[in-house]
Amino acid sequence: MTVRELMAKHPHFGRLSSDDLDSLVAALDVRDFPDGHVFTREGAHTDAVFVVIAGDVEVARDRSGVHHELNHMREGELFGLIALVGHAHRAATCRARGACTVGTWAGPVAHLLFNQCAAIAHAFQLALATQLAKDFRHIEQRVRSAL
Amino acid sequence: MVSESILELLARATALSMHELRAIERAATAQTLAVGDVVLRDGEASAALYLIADGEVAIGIGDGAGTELGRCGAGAVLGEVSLFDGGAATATVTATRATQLLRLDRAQLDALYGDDPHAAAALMRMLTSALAARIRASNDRLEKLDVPAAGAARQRQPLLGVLRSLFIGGPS
Repeated sequence: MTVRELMAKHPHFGRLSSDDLDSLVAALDVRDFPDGHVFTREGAHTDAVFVVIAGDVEVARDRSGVHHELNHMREGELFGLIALVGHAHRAATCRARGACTVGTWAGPVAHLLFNQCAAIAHAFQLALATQLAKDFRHIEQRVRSAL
Repeated sequence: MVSESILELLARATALSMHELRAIERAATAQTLAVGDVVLRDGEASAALYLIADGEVAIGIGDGAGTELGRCGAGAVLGEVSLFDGGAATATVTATRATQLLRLDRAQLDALYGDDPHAAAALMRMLTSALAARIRASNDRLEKLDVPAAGAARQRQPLLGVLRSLFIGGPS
Protein backbone atom coordinates (compact mmCIF):
# COMPACT_ATOMS: atom_id res chain seq x y z
CA MET A 1 0.00 0.00 0.00
CA THR A 2 1.36 3.45 -0.87
CA VAL A 3 1.52 6.26 1.69
CA ARG A 4 -1.22 8.08 -0.19
CA GLU A 5 -3.45 4.99 -0.14
CA LEU A 6 -2.88 4.66 3.61
CA MET A 7 -3.76 8.31 4.19
CA ALA A 8 -6.84 7.95 1.98
CA LYS A 9 -8.04 5.15 4.28
CA HIS A 10 -7.77 7.42 7.32
CA PRO A 11 -11.22 8.44 8.60
CA HIS A 12 -10.43 12.17 8.49
CA PHE A 13 -7.63 12.55 5.93
CA GLY A 14 -9.67 10.34 3.61
CA ARG A 15 -12.38 13.04 3.48
CA LEU A 16 -9.97 15.58 1.97
CA SER A 17 -10.15 16.51 -1.70
CA SER A 18 -7.64 14.74 -3.93
CA ASP A 19 -5.50 17.92 -4.18
CA ASP A 20 -5.51 18.50 -0.41
CA LEU A 21 -4.61 14.87 0.21
CA ASP A 22 -1.72 15.24 -2.23
CA SER A 23 -0.51 18.32 -0.31
CA LEU A 24 -0.75 16.50 3.01
CA VAL A 25 1.22 13.52 1.68
CA ALA A 26 3.78 15.74 -0.06
CA ALA A 27 4.53 17.47 3.28
CA LEU A 28 5.19 14.11 4.90
CA ASP A 29 8.82 12.97 5.13
CA VAL A 30 8.58 9.16 4.93
CA ARG A 31 11.59 7.05 5.92
CA ASP A 32 12.48 3.55 7.01
CA PHE A 33 13.95 3.23 10.50
CA PRO A 34 15.83 0.40 12.23
CA ASP A 35 14.80 -1.31 15.46
CA GLY A 36 15.46 0.97 18.44
CA HIS A 37 15.39 4.26 16.55
CA VAL A 38 14.24 7.05 18.86
CA PHE A 39 11.69 9.43 17.29
CA THR A 40 11.06 11.54 20.38
CA ARG A 41 12.85 11.59 23.70
CA GLU A 42 10.94 12.48 26.86
CA GLY A 43 11.65 16.04 27.95
CA ALA A 44 12.88 17.25 24.55
CA HIS A 45 11.34 20.34 22.97
CA THR A 46 10.33 19.42 19.41
CA ASP A 47 7.00 19.77 17.67
CA ALA A 48 7.01 17.26 14.83
CA VAL A 49 4.06 14.90 14.43
CA PHE A 50 4.52 11.34 13.23
CA VAL A 51 2.40 8.71 11.54
CA VAL A 52 3.21 5.01 11.49
CA ILE A 53 3.21 3.81 7.89
CA ALA A 54 4.30 0.25 8.75
CA GLY A 55 5.60 -1.46 11.88
CA ASP A 56 5.37 -0.80 15.60
CA VAL A 57 6.45 2.22 17.67
CA GLU A 58 6.64 1.89 21.44
CA VAL A 59 5.67 4.83 23.67
CA ALA A 60 7.46 4.58 27.02
CA ARG A 61 9.06 6.37 29.93
CA ASP A 62 12.16 5.38 31.87
CA ARG A 63 12.36 6.20 35.56
CA SER A 64 15.30 5.29 37.77
CA GLY A 65 16.19 2.40 35.52
CA VAL A 66 12.60 1.14 35.33
CA HIS A 67 11.02 0.95 31.89
CA HIS A 68 7.32 1.92 31.79
CA GLU A 69 5.66 0.91 28.56
CA LEU A 70 2.67 3.18 27.92
CA ASN A 71 1.42 2.27 24.48
CA HIS A 72 2.23 0.88 21.05
CA MET A 73 1.39 2.77 17.89
CA ARG A 74 0.72 0.86 14.70
CA GLU A 75 -0.14 1.42 11.04
CA GLY A 76 -2.08 4.62 10.45
CA GLU A 77 -1.75 5.86 14.04
CA LEU A 78 -0.35 9.28 14.93
CA PHE A 79 2.12 9.91 17.72
CA GLY A 80 3.95 12.88 19.20
CA LEU A 81 0.66 14.70 19.71
CA ILE A 82 0.72 15.64 23.37
CA ALA A 83 3.74 17.93 23.04
CA LEU A 84 2.27 19.51 19.90
CA VAL A 85 -1.17 20.13 21.38
CA GLY A 86 0.08 21.16 24.80
CA HIS A 87 3.02 23.25 23.48
CA ALA A 88 5.11 21.40 26.02
CA HIS A 89 8.12 19.13 26.18
CA ARG A 90 7.83 15.55 24.95
CA ALA A 91 5.72 13.49 27.34
CA ALA A 92 7.37 10.16 26.50
CA THR A 93 10.05 8.46 24.46
CA CYS A 94 8.84 6.92 21.19
CA ARG A 95 11.07 4.17 19.84
CA ALA A 96 10.90 1.77 16.87
CA ARG A 97 10.12 -1.82 17.90
CA GLY A 98 11.57 -3.68 14.97
CA ALA A 99 12.13 -2.10 11.59
CA CYS A 100 9.41 0.38 10.73
CA THR A 101 8.39 3.05 8.26
CA VAL A 102 7.29 6.35 9.72
CA GLY A 103 6.20 9.65 8.20
CA THR A 104 7.08 12.95 9.86
CA TRP A 105 5.35 16.28 9.55
CA ALA A 106 8.01 18.67 10.82
CA GLY A 107 6.48 21.40 12.99
CA PRO A 108 7.09 24.37 10.66
CA VAL A 109 5.96 22.39 7.60
CA ALA A 110 2.78 21.33 9.38
CA HIS A 111 2.02 24.89 10.55
CA LEU A 112 2.55 26.28 7.05
CA LEU A 113 0.29 23.62 5.57
CA PHE A 114 -2.48 24.23 8.11
CA ASN A 115 -2.33 27.99 7.70
CA GLN A 116 -2.65 27.64 3.94
CA CYS A 117 -5.57 25.25 3.86
CA ALA A 118 -8.55 25.27 6.24
CA ALA A 119 -9.72 21.84 5.09
CA ILE A 120 -6.35 20.26 5.95
CA ALA A 121 -6.27 22.07 9.30
CA HIS A 122 -9.79 20.80 10.05
CA ALA A 123 -8.94 17.21 9.07
CA PHE A 124 -5.78 17.38 11.15
CA GLN A 125 -7.61 18.66 14.23
CA LEU A 126 -10.14 15.84 13.91
CA ALA A 127 -7.32 13.32 13.43
CA LEU A 128 -5.57 14.65 16.56
CA ALA A 129 -8.78 14.44 18.59
CA THR A 130 -9.47 10.91 17.36
CA GLN A 131 -5.96 9.70 18.19
CA LEU A 132 -6.08 11.35 21.63
CA ALA A 133 -9.46 9.68 22.23
CA LYS A 134 -7.88 6.31 21.39
CA ASP A 135 -4.94 7.07 23.70
CA PHE A 136 -7.39 8.05 26.46
CA ARG A 137 -9.32 4.80 26.06
CA HIS A 138 -6.10 2.77 26.08
CA ILE A 139 -5.19 4.17 29.53
CA GLU A 140 -8.77 3.92 30.81
CA GLN A 141 -9.07 0.25 29.82
CA ARG A 142 -5.64 -0.56 31.22
CA VAL A 143 -6.54 0.96 34.59
CA ARG A 144 -10.01 -0.55 34.68
CA SER A 145 -8.68 -4.02 33.98
CA ALA A 146 -6.37 -3.62 36.98
CA LEU A 147 -9.09 -2.36 39.32
CA MET B 1 -30.98 28.86 24.45
CA VAL B 2 -28.18 29.85 26.80
CA SER B 3 -28.33 33.43 28.06
CA GLU B 4 -25.73 36.03 27.21
CA SER B 5 -24.75 36.34 30.89
CA ILE B 6 -24.02 32.60 31.10
CA LEU B 7 -21.97 32.80 27.90
CA GLU B 8 -19.98 35.62 29.52
CA LEU B 9 -19.26 33.42 32.53
CA LEU B 10 -18.34 30.58 30.19
CA ALA B 11 -15.94 32.86 28.31
CA ARG B 12 -14.16 33.52 31.61
CA ALA B 13 -13.99 29.79 32.38
CA THR B 14 -12.55 28.82 28.99
CA ALA B 15 -10.18 30.12 26.34
CA LEU B 16 -13.17 30.80 24.07
CA SER B 17 -14.19 34.32 23.06
CA MET B 18 -17.79 35.57 23.17
CA HIS B 19 -17.86 35.51 19.37
CA GLU B 20 -16.76 31.86 19.34
CA LEU B 21 -19.20 30.92 22.09
CA ARG B 22 -22.11 32.55 20.28
CA ALA B 23 -21.22 30.57 17.14
CA ILE B 24 -20.99 27.34 19.15
CA GLU B 25 -24.28 28.12 20.88
CA ARG B 26 -25.99 28.66 17.50
CA ALA B 27 -24.70 25.33 16.16
CA ALA B 28 -25.42 23.35 19.32
CA THR B 29 -28.55 22.07 21.00
CA ALA B 30 -29.07 23.61 24.43
CA GLN B 31 -30.03 21.07 27.07
CA THR B 32 -31.19 21.71 30.64
CA LEU B 33 -30.72 19.13 33.37
CA ALA B 34 -32.33 18.81 36.77
CA VAL B 35 -30.45 17.37 39.73
CA GLY B 36 -30.07 13.62 39.19
CA ASP B 37 -30.49 13.67 35.41
CA VAL B 38 -27.96 11.43 33.66
CA VAL B 39 -26.24 12.82 30.55
CA LEU B 40 -23.96 9.89 29.76
CA ARG B 41 -24.04 6.36 31.10
CA ASP B 42 -20.86 4.29 31.38
CA GLY B 43 -20.75 1.63 28.65
CA GLU B 44 -23.72 2.95 26.68
CA ALA B 45 -23.62 4.41 23.17
CA SER B 46 -22.85 8.09 22.94
CA ALA B 47 -22.28 10.27 19.89
CA ALA B 48 -22.07 13.87 21.02
CA LEU B 49 -19.87 16.16 23.01
CA TYR B 50 -21.26 18.39 25.74
CA LEU B 51 -19.90 21.72 26.87
CA ILE B 52 -21.08 22.60 30.37
CA ALA B 53 -22.37 26.17 30.19
CA ASP B 54 -23.53 26.40 33.78
CA GLY B 55 -24.03 24.09 36.76
CA GLU B 56 -22.19 21.01 37.92
CA VAL B 57 -22.03 17.29 37.12
CA ALA B 58 -20.54 14.28 38.88
CA ILE B 59 -18.31 11.92 36.88
CA GLY B 60 -18.38 8.29 37.95
CA ILE B 61 -17.58 4.84 36.69
CA GLY B 62 -20.10 2.02 36.64
CA ASP B 63 -23.52 3.34 37.51
CA GLY B 64 -21.91 6.44 38.94
CA ALA B 65 -23.53 5.99 42.32
CA GLY B 66 -20.76 4.18 44.12
CA THR B 67 -17.56 5.34 42.44
CA GLU B 68 -17.64 9.06 41.90
CA LEU B 69 -14.33 10.32 40.56
CA GLY B 70 -15.05 14.01 40.89
CA ARG B 71 -17.14 16.91 39.67
CA CYS B 72 -16.96 19.35 36.77
CA GLY B 73 -18.51 22.73 36.15
CA ALA B 74 -18.74 25.44 33.51
CA GLY B 75 -16.25 25.07 30.70
CA ALA B 76 -15.74 21.31 31.03
CA VAL B 77 -16.25 19.17 27.93
CA LEU B 78 -17.82 15.72 28.18
CA GLY B 79 -18.38 12.90 25.71
CA GLU B 80 -15.51 13.80 23.40
CA VAL B 81 -13.81 10.39 23.58
CA SER B 82 -16.88 8.51 22.33
CA LEU B 83 -17.61 11.14 19.71
CA PHE B 84 -14.15 10.78 18.20
CA ASP B 85 -13.41 7.08 18.59
CA GLY B 86 -16.98 5.87 18.14
CA GLY B 87 -16.90 3.74 21.30
CA ALA B 88 -19.24 3.64 24.27
CA ALA B 89 -19.31 6.30 26.98
CA THR B 90 -16.39 5.89 29.39
CA ALA B 91 -18.19 7.28 32.46
CA THR B 92 -21.55 8.08 33.95
CA VAL B 93 -22.25 11.79 34.15
CA THR B 94 -25.01 12.96 36.50
CA ALA B 95 -26.17 16.51 37.23
CA THR B 96 -25.58 17.49 40.84
CA ARG B 97 -27.09 20.95 40.31
CA ALA B 98 -29.40 22.48 37.74
CA THR B 99 -27.14 22.42 34.70
CA GLN B 100 -27.14 23.84 31.20
CA LEU B 101 -25.24 22.08 28.45
CA LEU B 102 -24.45 22.75 24.84
CA ARG B 103 -24.68 19.48 22.93
CA LEU B 104 -22.89 19.02 19.59
CA ASP B 105 -23.07 15.83 17.57
CA ARG B 106 -20.82 15.15 14.60
CA ALA B 107 -23.14 16.80 12.08
CA GLN B 108 -23.42 19.92 14.24
CA LEU B 109 -19.63 20.05 14.65
CA ASP B 110 -19.24 19.82 10.86
CA ALA B 111 -21.89 22.53 10.44
CA LEU B 112 -20.01 24.75 12.90
CA TYR B 113 -16.90 24.33 10.74
CA GLY B 114 -18.90 25.42 7.73
CA ASP B 115 -20.44 28.45 9.46
CA ASP B 116 -17.52 29.62 11.58
CA PRO B 117 -14.26 27.72 11.08
CA HIS B 118 -12.45 29.88 13.64
CA ALA B 119 -14.96 29.02 16.38
CA ALA B 120 -14.82 25.33 15.48
CA ALA B 121 -11.02 25.38 15.48
CA ALA B 122 -10.98 27.16 18.86
CA LEU B 123 -13.35 24.56 20.33
CA MET B 124 -11.21 21.73 18.95
CA ARG B 125 -8.03 23.34 20.33
CA MET B 126 -9.63 23.65 23.76
CA LEU B 127 -10.86 20.08 23.65
CA THR B 128 -7.59 18.52 22.44
CA SER B 129 -5.49 20.58 24.87
CA ALA B 130 -7.62 19.41 27.79
CA LEU B 131 -7.49 15.80 26.60
CA ALA B 132 -3.70 15.93 26.10
CA ALA B 133 -3.16 17.44 29.57
CA ARG B 134 -5.30 14.76 31.18
CA ILE B 135 -3.48 11.96 29.33
CA ARG B 136 -0.14 13.39 30.41
CA ALA B 137 -1.27 13.68 34.07
CA SER B 138 -2.67 10.13 34.00
CA ASN B 139 0.57 8.73 32.61
CA ASP B 140 2.46 10.59 35.35
CA ARG B 141 0.34 8.80 37.96
CA LEU B 142 0.33 5.48 36.14
CA GLU B 143 4.09 5.18 35.98
CA LYS B 144 4.23 5.32 39.78
CA LEU B 145 2.08 2.19 39.99
CA ASP B 146 2.93 -1.39 39.33
CA VAL B 147 -0.08 -1.94 37.11
CA PRO B 148 0.47 -5.61 36.27
CA ALA B 149 0.21 -6.32 40.01
CA ALA B 150 -2.48 -3.74 40.59
CA GLY B 151 -5.33 -6.14 41.21
CA ALA B 152 -4.44 -6.00 44.87
CA ALA B 153 -6.88 -3.98 46.96
CA ARG B 154 -4.09 -1.64 48.08
CA GLN B 155 -3.81 -0.34 44.52
CA ARG B 156 -7.48 0.61 44.22
CA GLN B 157 -7.23 4.19 45.47
CA PRO B 158 -4.14 5.04 43.38
CA LEU B 159 -5.81 3.51 40.32
CA LEU B 160 -8.94 5.57 40.92
CA GLY B 161 -6.57 8.54 41.15
CA VAL B 162 -5.33 7.74 37.65
CA LEU B 163 -8.91 7.66 36.38
CA ARG B 164 -9.60 10.94 38.19
CA SER B 165 -6.66 12.56 36.36
CA LEU B 166 -7.85 11.07 33.10
CA PHE B 167 -11.48 12.16 33.36
CA ILE B 168 -11.21 15.36 35.33
CA GLY B 169 -7.60 16.49 35.24
CA GLY B 170 -5.72 18.32 37.90
CA PRO B 171 -2.15 17.96 39.08
CA SER B 172 -0.49 14.59 38.82
